[in-house]
Amino acid sequence: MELILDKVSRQYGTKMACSNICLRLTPGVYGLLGANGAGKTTLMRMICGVLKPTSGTITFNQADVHSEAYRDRLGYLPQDFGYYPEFTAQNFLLYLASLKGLSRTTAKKKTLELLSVVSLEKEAKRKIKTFSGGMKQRLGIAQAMLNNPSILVLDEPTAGLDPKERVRFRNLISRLGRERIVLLSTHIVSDVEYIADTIFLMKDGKLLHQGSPQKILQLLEGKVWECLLPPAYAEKLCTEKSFPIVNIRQEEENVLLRLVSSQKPSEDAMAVTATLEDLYLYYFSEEASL
Amino acid sequence: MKHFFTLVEFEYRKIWKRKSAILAMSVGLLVSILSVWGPLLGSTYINGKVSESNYEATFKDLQYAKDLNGRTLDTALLLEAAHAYAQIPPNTEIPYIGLEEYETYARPYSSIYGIAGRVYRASGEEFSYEEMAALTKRDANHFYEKRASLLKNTIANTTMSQTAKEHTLKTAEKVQTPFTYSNTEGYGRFLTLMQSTGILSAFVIAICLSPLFAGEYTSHADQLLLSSRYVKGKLIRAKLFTGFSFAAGFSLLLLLQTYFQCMLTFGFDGSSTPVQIFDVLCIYPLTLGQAGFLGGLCFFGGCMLMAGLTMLLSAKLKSPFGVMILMSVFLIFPMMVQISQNSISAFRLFHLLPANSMAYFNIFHMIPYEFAGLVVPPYIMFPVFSVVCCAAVLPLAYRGFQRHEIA
Repeated sequence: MELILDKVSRQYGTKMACSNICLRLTPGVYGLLGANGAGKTTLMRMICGVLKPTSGTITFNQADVHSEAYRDRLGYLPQDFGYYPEFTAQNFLLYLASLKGLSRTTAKKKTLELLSVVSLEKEAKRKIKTFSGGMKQRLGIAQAMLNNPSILVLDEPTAGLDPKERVRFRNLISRLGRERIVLLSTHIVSDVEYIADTIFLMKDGKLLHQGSPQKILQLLEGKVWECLLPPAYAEKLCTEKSFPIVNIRQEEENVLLRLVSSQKPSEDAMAVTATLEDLYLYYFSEEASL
Repeated sequence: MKHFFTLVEFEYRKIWKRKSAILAMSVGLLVSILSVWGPLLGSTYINGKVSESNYEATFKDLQYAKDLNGRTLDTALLLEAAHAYAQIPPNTEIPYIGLEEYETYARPYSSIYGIAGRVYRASGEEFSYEEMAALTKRDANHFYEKRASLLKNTIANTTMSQTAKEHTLKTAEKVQTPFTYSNTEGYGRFLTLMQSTGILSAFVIAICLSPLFAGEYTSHADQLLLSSRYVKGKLIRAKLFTGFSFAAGFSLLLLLQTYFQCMLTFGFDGSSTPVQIFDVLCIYPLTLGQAGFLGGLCFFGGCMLMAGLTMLLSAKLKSPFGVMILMSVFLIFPMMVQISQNSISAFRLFHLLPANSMAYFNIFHMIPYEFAGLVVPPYIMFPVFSVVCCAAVLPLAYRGFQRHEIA
C-alpha cells in the first residue's frame, strides 16, 4: 500500500500554494507541520482528490486519486468541515455512510460503534446544531473512519478537543496507523510529536524537510538555548527579535529565555535538547533565518 | 439501487429540515388556496351601496349557468337572451345591473351575453346591453359565420407563414358547431388560475431547490461529499432525481389542489363542453376537459423547466441566494414585458419561457410553432420544449457538480 505524490504543484493565479511536492507514503502516521498559508490544506485536498493539482500526479497503488476505488479507501476530515445543523449525529453519520457505500445494516452498526469511540453515544439523537465545537470535531473524526479507510487524512483533527479527548484521539490514531496511512496536520506540535512516525515540514508551499522526529530534531542540535538574563537585556533580545524566542519565564529577578539560534546568544547561555516546538518556531517564525 | 434511494431519502430530509423550504411550501399552498376563493370575497357596490356579496353573486350566476346546461347555443338561445336583455328599461341614474328587470330577466342569460359580446364586438370595445337587446334574428342566425369570419381575419392579419395560416384555419374549421352550453365556471377558473398558480409553484421550487448543490458549497459540506465514494455518480443522480421528483410532486400538488378546489366550489360541469363556451374565439377543437389536461401538462412542463434551470444554476453558482435571485428575475421578468405578434420569432420564443408557457391564452394561442414545414400548436410545443430543455440542462448540472473543486 503506497501513496505517491510526484512533482505535485498547485497554483492560484500567481501564487504557488504547493510547489513540486514529491512524497511516498506507506502505512504509518505522518505529521504535516507548517504555519498558516504554508500549503498544508491545499496538499491534503489534492491528496483527497477534491482539488486537482496544476501539475504532477498523485496515485494510490498506481490508481488515480480521482477514482471511485480510491475514494472508497479514503477517510477525510477537512478543516472547518460542513455539517447539516438539523441532522442528528446518528443521521449525519448514516448519510455519510450511505455516500461511502456502506449497507444500511453495516452503517447502523458502524455508526453506533464510532459514536462510542468518540464518546458521543449519548448524543446520537441530538441535533448537530446543539453541539459544541469539540463535539462537532469528534463527529468529524467519526465520519472519517466510517469506511475503515486505508488512507486517513486529517486536517487539524485536534482543534477544539480538550486535553483528555486529545490524548484519546492520539491513542486512537496510533492504533490506526499500524495498518494504514494516516496523514494529519496540526498546529498542536505535541500531537505530532507523540504519534507521528514521520514529519513533513512545509513552508511557502514547499516541503522543507521530512523524516522521523528524531531525525528532524537533529537539524536543531546545538541551536536551542536557555539563558537567565536581566530583564532589560532579555527585553532587548525579545524586541530585537534576532532569534525565535520559544519561551519567556520570570525567575525571581531575572528572566529565563529559551530561544533558537545558530550562535550562542549570550555568555551564560546553555545548550538544551531541542523539541518539535523549538523546531516549529525556528522554521515558522518570520524573522527566523537559517 | 438501495444506496441511490437512501441518498434520495437524505436529500429529501435536507429539504424538509430547511425552514425556508417549509415556509415557502406552506405560503405557496396557502396563497394557492386563497387565490381560488379570493374572488368570493368582497361585495359589489352600486352607487356606493352594497348590492350583494361576491359570494352570493357567484353562486347565483353559477346556478343561472347551470340552468342553461345542455342547451344548444343557437339562434333560439341567443334571441332568448336578447329578449331578456330587452326587458331592461333605458335609464341613466343607476347602472343597469342594479335594476330589478336585469335581476329578474337578463341576469340568467349573462353568460350568453358574455359569449355574444366577444363575437359581435370583437374589437375589444364594450358590447353594451342595449346592443345585446337589439340583437336581430339575422345576427343570431349568423353567429357562427360571424365567429368564423372573425377568426379568418385575425389569422390573415398575423405574420405567420402561409403554411401556418392554412394549418390554423383548418384547425379552426374542425371546431364543431353549434356549441352545447354548459356551466364552465370550474374549468374556467382552473384555466385562468393556471399561470398564477404555476408561477407560485415555480417560485417555491426555486426556493427549495436552489440550495440543492450550492447549499453544499456554502456550508462546506462539499469537502466531505467530494471525498466520498459515491459523489461523482450516485450522489449527483440522487440530487437530480430529488430535484425533479420534488418539483413534480409540488407542482402536481398545487395543480390538483387548484383543480379540485375549483371543481368542488364551482362545479365539475363542462369537462365535455367545447372550450369555446369558455373562450369563444379559441381555434382548437378541444373540450374543456382536454384543455384542462393540456394546460396541466404545460404547467407541469414549466415547473420542471424551472427545476432544471434552478439545479443547473445551483451546481454552477456558489450561493443558493444568488440562484434564488436569478430564478426570480427569470420568472418575473417575462410577465413585465410584452412582445408584439409582428415580431413573430421573438413572440414565439418569449412564450416558451416558464412564466408565459403556463398562461391559458398563450397555451391556446392561435399562433403555432413551425419546424421545417411541421406546424405544432403551443400546447404541444411548451411541454416538449420543457422536456428538451430539461434533457439539455441535466448533463450540464451533472458536470457542474462533478467538476466542482474546493479551492
